[in-house]
Amino acid sequence: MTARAPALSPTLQPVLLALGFALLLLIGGTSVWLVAQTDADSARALQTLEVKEKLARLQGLVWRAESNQRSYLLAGDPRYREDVQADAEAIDAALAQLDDALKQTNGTTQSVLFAELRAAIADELSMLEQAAGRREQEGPLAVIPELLERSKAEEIRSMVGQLVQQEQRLLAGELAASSRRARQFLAASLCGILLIFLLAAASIIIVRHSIRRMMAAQKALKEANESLEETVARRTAELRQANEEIQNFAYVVSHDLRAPLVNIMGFTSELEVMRKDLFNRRGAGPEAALRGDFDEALSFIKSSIARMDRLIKAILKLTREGRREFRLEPIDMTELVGSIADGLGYQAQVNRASITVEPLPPFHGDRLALEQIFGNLLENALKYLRDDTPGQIRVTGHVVPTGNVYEVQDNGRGIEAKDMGRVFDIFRRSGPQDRPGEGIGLTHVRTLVRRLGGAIDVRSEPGRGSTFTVTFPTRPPATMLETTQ
Amino acid sequence: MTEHVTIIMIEDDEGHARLIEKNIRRAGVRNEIVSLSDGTSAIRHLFGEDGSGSEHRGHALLILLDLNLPDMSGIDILKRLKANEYLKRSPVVVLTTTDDQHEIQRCYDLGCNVYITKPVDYESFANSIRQLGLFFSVIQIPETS
Repeated sequence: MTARAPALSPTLQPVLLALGFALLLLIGGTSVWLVAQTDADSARALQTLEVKEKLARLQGLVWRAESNQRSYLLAGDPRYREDVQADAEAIDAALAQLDDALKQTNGTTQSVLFAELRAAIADELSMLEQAAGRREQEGPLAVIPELLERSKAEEIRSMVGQLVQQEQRLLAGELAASSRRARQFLAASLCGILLIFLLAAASIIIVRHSIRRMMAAQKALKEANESLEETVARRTAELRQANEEIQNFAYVVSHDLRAPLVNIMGFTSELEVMRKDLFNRRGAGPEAALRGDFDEALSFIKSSIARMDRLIKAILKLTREGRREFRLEPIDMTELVGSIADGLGYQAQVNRASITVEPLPPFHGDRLALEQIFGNLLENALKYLRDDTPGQIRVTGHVVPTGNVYEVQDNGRGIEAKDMGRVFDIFRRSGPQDRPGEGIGLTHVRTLVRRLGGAIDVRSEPGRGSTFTVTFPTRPPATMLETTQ
Repeated sequence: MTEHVTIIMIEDDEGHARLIEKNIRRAGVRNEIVSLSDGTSAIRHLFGEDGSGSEHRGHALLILLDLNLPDMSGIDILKRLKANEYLKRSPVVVLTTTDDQHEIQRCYDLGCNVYITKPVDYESFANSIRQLGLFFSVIQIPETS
């Protein structure tokens, strides 16, 4: 009913979803990384600017120191000398700062050039100091040419320029690498997005496919349900018909069996009349023994016919019960069973038995059927008491979640285990066959209980008594309301 | 019952027919008894070849009818009898084994005059038939018009 699709099985769906989420996480991570990278790049650019600015300041300070020194050498004003010293201190501080900044930007790799610069500046400063010392001793003009020769101002300038360039190169390189990585990541993200789209498409296809299959399955199920209902209805009708046929059959058979019985009985009686005439005419004599045999044969034939007639009548009664229409009404069971017990009062007295009816839960059923059920059970209880013990019969009842339970308990002779299943069968009786009856009562009871939607069961201990349990559902089944007619 | 009344007995069971006849005779009934053992011959006898029933004009008939016949239901014969202009006044005694209440009601509804269930017990059977015979000896039966 559904097409097989192993490639697009719905079991693949979670895997696809997991893959999609993983890709999304990757893309998200990349974005975070890109932002962080941009931040780092700008910080790095700022640092480079800072380094450049510090280098420029250093250069300025060196120039100012040189210029102040020259002013001191020319003018000899000690104020300039103090300025030079202040400048040297500022240069030291600037160098320390620069060292820190450089360390931040590129670790220690630049320290060679920086160390050279540092040394050059130190030389320059010491040269300036020496020149200042000689100016004090030898006068202003003696130091100037030497000063000019030994000045490292030009080298310092070039080194600062190199440092700036190096720093810029470094920055450019790092930025280039960063932007390359960013581009790679971006490309990867784009690929990821594309993949997510592909996954989404695959998911949609799978979902639509499985929805189609589900709908097909649902349709098939619905059809199956409908055909099931049809089948059940058909079977029920068949069963009902079969049941009717059986009842009809039983009715017709029992009916037709009675007709030959009338003949057998009738002509037996005719024979009896003829025999009387015959033997009367012959009088006593050797035929006396023959007469006895004749009587015996006739009495056997007649008692058998009478029994057969009772059995057939019983079957007729059963089939008629099966056809009778039930009228359901609320029934006070305590009152119903109580009045049955009252009706059996004389019989109970003769049998030295007592019948106790405890309060029973009410029930919604057919009055006549219930009377027959409990009447039969009570009569049975009275019939099968033990001769040596006063009979005690108790009717109790209680409500269980599924319905009402009624029990008829006696202390009679009980039923052998092997007979338990048979007592409800037609024409079957348990124990010594010393009581009148055709073995029809319990069959009748079971038929009625079943028609009321209930069940009957028996527990018994031979020699101690039996308990018949009748269970009715709270509401009788709807089928019970239908009659077989 | 006057001598010219004919008893028509429709009964498929020959034994029953014989027993009924014997017991009616025992009650002192001397009328002619015509015994018919199936529905078809009964219909032919009652309604004649042309199916009108005019053959019996001027006769007095009493019909003993069994419901369970091999070829048709006695009910159909009862219906036809009561619908026939010549035979509708002839008393019909349904004598059958059926004791179903619906069936009994139906027969009376269709115009049966007496419904008797054949008892299986021979004593009561013989007794019933004898009483029926006695009853026959006192009732008035109209001639067919």
